Amino acid sequence: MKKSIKNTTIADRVLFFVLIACSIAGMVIVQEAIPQGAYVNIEIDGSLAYTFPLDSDRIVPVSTPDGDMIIEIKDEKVRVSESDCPKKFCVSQGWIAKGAIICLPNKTVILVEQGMPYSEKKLDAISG
Amino acid sequence: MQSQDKYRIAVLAAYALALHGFEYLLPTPIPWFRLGLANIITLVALTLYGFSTAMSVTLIRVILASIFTGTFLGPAFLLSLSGGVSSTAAMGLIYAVQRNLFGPVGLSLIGALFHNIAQLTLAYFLFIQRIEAILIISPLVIFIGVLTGFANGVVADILIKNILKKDGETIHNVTRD
Repeated sequence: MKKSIKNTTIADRVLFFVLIACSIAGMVIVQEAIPQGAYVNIEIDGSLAYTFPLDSDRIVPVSTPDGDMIIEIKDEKVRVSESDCPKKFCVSQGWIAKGAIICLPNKTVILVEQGMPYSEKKLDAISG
Repeated sequence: MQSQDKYRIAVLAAYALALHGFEYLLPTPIPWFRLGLANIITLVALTLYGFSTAMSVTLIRVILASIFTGTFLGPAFLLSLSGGVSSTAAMGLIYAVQRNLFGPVGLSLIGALFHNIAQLTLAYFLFIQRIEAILIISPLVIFIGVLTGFANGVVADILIKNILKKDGETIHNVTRD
């Protein structure tokens, strides 16, 4: 094992450190760039299905054509508490206060955003 | 294709399939966390037996694994196929152009990177048409990919050295020592 690491070429090492640096920088930038959200927008299969304010606690059962899930909003955080997708990545992601939870099998995106996306959607409908 | 090649592809594909199946059984503690153990076999196939063997092994592994797990032609299969094919193609291309620039570790990192890029791109076009959502998870996915890619590269390096030590004379496709 040690020998294998010693035997790596210079290009191997450069690539490794560049990738590590870029991905850590990316994570930091993403953390900084995500605005603190005020609304939870739930999109199913590309279209907005629900919008809730982040500061009111509630439990929302969501049913999609691909599967059902339960989304919980509490203490200005949101999580997927139950889902019948196979891997349950969305559930294991836990509580988030900003950013997004994505459930690929159910084609569902839960986004914590600054505003209600209503006006934006209307603009999109006009422009194209 | 000689019968020896067929035999070799079959054996390597069986190993890759076993690792793929083993990985499927493991719990995934972090979302998007994948070990990519089967890439070890792809790397061994590429460095010892060439690109066409590596690509055959990858295609057989992805298709059979999806049939065994019941996801053939489903979304998981498409993600798996795009990741496998693009990582093998990227590693093959780099290996063909600059054979001595990268060792197995570097090739494994390239494979992991292209695997992730392909899957994120496909996820964007097929499932989630939200570029922000993809951009948010990309750095984390790539970071995890670098760590697992590095580990797989080290294992592949050990494996390749041992195979060469054991029957180096019977393998002709080797220029590295």
